[in-house]
Amino acid sequence: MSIRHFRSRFLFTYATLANASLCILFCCLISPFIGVAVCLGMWNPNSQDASTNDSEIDFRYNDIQNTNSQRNTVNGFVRDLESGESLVGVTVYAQDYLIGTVTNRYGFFSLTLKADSVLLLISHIGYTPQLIHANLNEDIQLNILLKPSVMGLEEFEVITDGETDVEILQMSGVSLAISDIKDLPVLAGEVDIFKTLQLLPGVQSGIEGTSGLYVRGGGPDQNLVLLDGIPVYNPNHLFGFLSVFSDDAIKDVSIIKGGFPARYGGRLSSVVELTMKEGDLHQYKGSASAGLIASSFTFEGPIRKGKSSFLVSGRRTYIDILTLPFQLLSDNDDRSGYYFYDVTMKGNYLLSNKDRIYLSFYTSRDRAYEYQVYGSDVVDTSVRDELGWRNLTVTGRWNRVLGSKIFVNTLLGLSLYRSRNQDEERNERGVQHISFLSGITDGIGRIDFEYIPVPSHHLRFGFGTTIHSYHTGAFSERWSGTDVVPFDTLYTPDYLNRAMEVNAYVEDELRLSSMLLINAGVHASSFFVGRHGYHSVQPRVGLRWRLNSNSSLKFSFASMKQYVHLLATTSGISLPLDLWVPATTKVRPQEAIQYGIGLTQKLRNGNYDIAVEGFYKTINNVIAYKDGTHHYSYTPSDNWENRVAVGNGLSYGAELFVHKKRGRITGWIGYSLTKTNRTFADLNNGKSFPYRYDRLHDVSLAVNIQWNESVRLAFTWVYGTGQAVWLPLGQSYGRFHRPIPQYSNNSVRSEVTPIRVYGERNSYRMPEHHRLDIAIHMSRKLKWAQRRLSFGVYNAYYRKNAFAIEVTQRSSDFEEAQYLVFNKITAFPIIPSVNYRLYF
Amino acid sequence: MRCLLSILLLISLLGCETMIEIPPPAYNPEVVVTSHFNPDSIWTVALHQSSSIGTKQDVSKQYESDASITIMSGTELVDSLLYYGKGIYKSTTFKRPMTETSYTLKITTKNQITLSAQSSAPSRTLISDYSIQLQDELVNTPVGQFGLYHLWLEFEDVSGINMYEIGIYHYVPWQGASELSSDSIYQRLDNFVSVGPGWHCGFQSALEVEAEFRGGPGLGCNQLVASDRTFEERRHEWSATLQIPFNKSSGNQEILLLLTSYSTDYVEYARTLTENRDAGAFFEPISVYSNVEGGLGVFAGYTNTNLILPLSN
Repeated sequence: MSIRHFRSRFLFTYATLANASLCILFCCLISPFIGVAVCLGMWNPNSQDASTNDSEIDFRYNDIQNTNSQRNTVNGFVRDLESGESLVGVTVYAQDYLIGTVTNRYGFFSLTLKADSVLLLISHIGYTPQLIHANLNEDIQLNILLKPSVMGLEEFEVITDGETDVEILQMSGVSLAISDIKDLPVLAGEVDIFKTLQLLPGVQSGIEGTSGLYVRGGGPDQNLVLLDGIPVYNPNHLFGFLSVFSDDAIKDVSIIKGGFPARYGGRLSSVVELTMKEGDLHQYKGSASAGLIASSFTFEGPIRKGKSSFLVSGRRTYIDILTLPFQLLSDNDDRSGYYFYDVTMKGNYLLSNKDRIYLSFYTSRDRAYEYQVYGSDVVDTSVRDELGWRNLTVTGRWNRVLGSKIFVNTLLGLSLYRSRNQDEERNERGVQHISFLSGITDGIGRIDFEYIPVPSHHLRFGFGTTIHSYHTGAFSERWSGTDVVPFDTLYTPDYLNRAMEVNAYVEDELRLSSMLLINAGVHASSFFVGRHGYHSVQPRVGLRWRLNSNSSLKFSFASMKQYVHLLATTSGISLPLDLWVPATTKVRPQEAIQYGIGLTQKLRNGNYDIAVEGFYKTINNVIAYKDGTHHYSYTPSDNWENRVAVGNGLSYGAELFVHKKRGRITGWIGYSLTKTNRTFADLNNGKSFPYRYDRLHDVSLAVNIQWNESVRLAFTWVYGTGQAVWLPLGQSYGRFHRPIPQYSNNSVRSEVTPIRVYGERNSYRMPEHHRLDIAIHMSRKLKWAQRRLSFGVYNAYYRKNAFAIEVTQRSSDFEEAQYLVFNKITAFPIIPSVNYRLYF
Repeated sequence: MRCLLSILLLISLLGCETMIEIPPPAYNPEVVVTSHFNPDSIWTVALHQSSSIGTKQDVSKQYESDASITIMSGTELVDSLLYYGKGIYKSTTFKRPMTETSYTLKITTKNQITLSAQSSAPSRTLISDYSIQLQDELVNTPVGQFGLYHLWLEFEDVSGINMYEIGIYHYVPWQGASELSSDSIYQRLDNFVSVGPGWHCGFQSALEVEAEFRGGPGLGCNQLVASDRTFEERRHEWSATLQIPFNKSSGNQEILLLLTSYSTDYVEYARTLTENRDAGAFFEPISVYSNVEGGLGVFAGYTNTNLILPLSN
């Protein structure tokens, strides 16, 4: 056995042992905290808090908790009546006891009550509430089917007594119905989940039109984007102007900006969870849509009715096809084009009432290409340049219910991201091929447990391992041909970095009284890279204090650690040149601590939820390119670690979110007041400077109006402080005074070079931006299908927002009068869109 | 409906970027000094004023005239420079800088702005031995035919922090080149394989990277640089395989080897000036290094050692 082989085996064994040790450690650590009795379901809270209305609630609450009488558990799954899809966040409410629970991401619930006849109210936005009488003489399982409330084609909300934002503990989190996302107007008519998330307070977009998420002063790499539990590293199509997830294949979306529960780890700023649809268990159905830049289809149905189902969804742009005729009409043979596609597939099988397995697959690809042919007196040469990236995720999951109170989710998955830039020159002598490849591959294994011993406890714990392979830029060159010296070199032999991450967590959502709800937990992780290991224990606390039946006060604390960094280009758009790199001995993992406090108010019988939140976040070990550098360089011997500076960040602010979830008019108003700075010893002379996406004011308004049964209107309006950018303020010139004999006869001549004089980093503010987008959706029932025709206008009042500021030289000849000017580039004028969609 | 769709499609395709000139931020102009010196030159200083972006004048012609400029060595006055026009000030005494001597540049402008800077020229490098041999007559590559030569040399490093650059220039007798390049008799060689440890492509790499320079054909490295940290105060051997372009009509050929030793001020200035000039859309901007107190620019020394090597056919 070689030393290298031995080392890797040793590392693997150590990591596995560490994983197990962490689990044991957590059990020991957390047990005193929440009490052994909690785990055994014997918790006996002694609530003293009572006020008018709530005193009755407390009494009943205590009554059920204090009684020594037998208790039994009702558990099961809540699914859509028509499709059989599991429903997330459905409230299961025992009206007699004024207690309830909500279904988890897989539609599972468990409620332990006094052995008695009980009346359960099952309610969910967009569904007709259902009352179920259950006799709890013994543990029972209920598989509940909820009927959608349908108005025309759209999901239509009904007022229920479901859990509102006032009741839930999670602060800084929002779940969005996919129907709302589908209705909001977007660029080019392409439904974009991430662009909708950008409309939430605390979530900022990057440059106009892009899908990047900058959450509470964090970078785009600090968002944990989970598709069916598997991270997606580059969720961008079209250089970041479109996110990669097709709305037809996604069931629900949620984002958490702070107060992260212990079950999440690995990123500092947000968790975006996307759950794919499972596929209709009862009937075949599908949809197809055609827009200005892309078309998509979705087809789903049962494999075995009521037992298993599948879903296939795909989308492709036709930008390349649209531009092809213009290229064919041109005089030369040059060709260029761009396309993207994404494909989603999912299948599931109900093994039994307690077991279900899922297999999901997702892939997306973007490719831009250019072919050129140029000739000389000697030889014709063809040049082919390509730029592209792709994502691939594969997930296998097994859900199992153990007994009546434990839900287990076991997951095995693969996430792969690759980007490639290659140039190839070919002529009759041979071929010269240069390529730059980067990416990341994750192999993931995880097991999560949910244990709900009594309604006042929701214990979650689990552990997992991820094996990472980071391709930090493989730069290679190859020559081949009949008349050429063969040559094949990899200039960056150290491009491959392997690492292993193990993590474990335990958290308990603990209802100490009807007023006080606590989620306390700890997430621990270890990261092994090279011969080095990083270890961390990250405590998390969330607290909700219900002031009265309509308002609550919330507090959160979260310590986060991130073992991966993204070296992004300064362009602000997503490019395959962005490089994912691991924490190393030189560049330590990123860390963040975030405090949050908020007040949530329910108005008008729960039609409106109003949340006011403040947060304070410190970030350590963020990285940025040093002045004048970028990784994508043909300097072969250089390493990315030498090109980055390591520093800290600070972000604080307040957010207002007014959300109307029900009724004919739904939507929200969001406002953020945020300040975000970065400080690097090696940058800006060590002085703090504004983060590029520091945006003091950020306002968004999103409104959906159900005009009548077949017409739906939607509009969004956004306003934001301009981006902080680093631009030259002055100009001068300099000289190289080294000998340049190339154009001189043994004489020494200076090279005169224009200089751009920069001020402090990000000291220039781009102009403020605002924009109104409008969409109208018209639905009609056809004989064999339902049709939805959508028209939209992006930037309805033609605001010339700055996409970028460019400094250009007005004269190319330095000997003549020349000067630099600031140009505001506006990329998006009024852009109309149309989309035609059929549901069959 | 079809008509509407056609119109919408047309309008969408017409959507494109527009550029609008906007006023630049406020900026206070500064005096910019450019002065490089070596033991073979006389003292020369160029002065001009920086200007705000948007100032619609040629910045290279914003000369700073009527300034008082002196060169000091400690408290001793070495030279006083006179204005020669176009922002250039030169020595009237034709005194030349000495190596390893710290000089101070002192400037007082007509607006009574005072500037100062300090630097020195490194000692001349001794090339103790060298050889050049033909390896292979002709090699075909996708970009043409080349003759391969092996060049070896040895030089002695002196104490202190030293940064070297090797430049190789191919002598090409002029035989009917275009009017513009009629005096172009030396072509800089960029395509050669260097095997010396510690050598890097460009000042940035040489300053930061511990790894050896991994050369390869077609690198296009036009600034082969090394810091002396791997051969401090020792003899250093360096070799390279040169690809000399094959020209049937060429007569006797030779190469000029230029070994330059730079002051750290020059290295920082040249590095940042290159990066300030070459920064593309995907590069972080960089401010140009300045060692001038009270203004911008540089006052820096360097020293050249030349070697002419004939090429055997």
